[in-house]
Amino acid sequence: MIFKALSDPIRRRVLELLRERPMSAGELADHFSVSKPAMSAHFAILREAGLVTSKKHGKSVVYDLQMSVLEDALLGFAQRFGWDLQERKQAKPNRLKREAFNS
Amino acid sequence: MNMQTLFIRPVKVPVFGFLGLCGMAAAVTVAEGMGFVDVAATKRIIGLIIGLMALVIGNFLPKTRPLKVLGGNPAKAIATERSIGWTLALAGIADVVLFAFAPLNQARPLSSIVGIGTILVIAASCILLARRTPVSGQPITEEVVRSEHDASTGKLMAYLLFSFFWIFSTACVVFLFDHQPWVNNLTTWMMMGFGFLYAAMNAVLNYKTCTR
Repeated sequence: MIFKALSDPIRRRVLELLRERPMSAGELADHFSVSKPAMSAHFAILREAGLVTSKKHGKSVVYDLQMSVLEDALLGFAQRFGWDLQERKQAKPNRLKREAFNS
Repeated sequence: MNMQTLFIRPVKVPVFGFLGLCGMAAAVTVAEGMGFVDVAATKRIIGLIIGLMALVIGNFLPKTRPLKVLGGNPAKAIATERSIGWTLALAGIADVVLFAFAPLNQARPLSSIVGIGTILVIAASCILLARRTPVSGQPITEEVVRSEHDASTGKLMAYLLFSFFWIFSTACVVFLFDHQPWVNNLTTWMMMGFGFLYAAMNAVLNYKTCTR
């Protein structure tokens, strides 16, 4: 569950933002160009993994960080190596295109 | 504070982990008294247990958010909880490594130095946070009522942290001054002092209830 939660760059970025301070769902969503239902799905995964808590404040829902030291360390590893994986995934089609062009 | 708080996931593991490790330490001490375990092995096992306590409590401390109930700047509280958690977890790992691999006559003083350094760093973090957190009476509002769960969790973590740090500092003193003749008397006074200070802390944490 933790690995699934940390495998997505949007969810990792949400956790980074929550390190600064608790934020409402709207404030968090403003940082990303994804739809509200998609963001709700991300929040649900983070909640199920126990990495965030949510509380209703009037009409909005405020999210607060709830990560152990081990989960914090896993986030750091995922940020470092997950980012590299994203680059490799993007580089692979470019390499195939270059090879096709050269041949 | 209610029993329900005890079984909520972030709090459950450090509390039961701490109690379980205390039970193990007691069992090892009894086994040594009965002659099943020699003195050197007991000292090594107790050192390992204290290291594991620091590791478990340090790991889960940022998750339980004990400083949330103080109010003030939430960003500072989150940063302080993270730094205390990491410091304690790393100290626990250092203790476990020392008592697992180093000779006992080196492991004990080195772990004391690590422990005293850890306590000083954590005290400094708390003082820095306290200086930046205004202390003011909070009016009873809907927000306060909704955060009663947070207050219960914070109180439980305060008891746990107080107990752990008392054991940790007692262990640091014993490990560092093991061969001094006054160590046994000092540890006896520290154990008695624990009871008085625990009662005082209980009174302070429940101050509002007592004065109603």
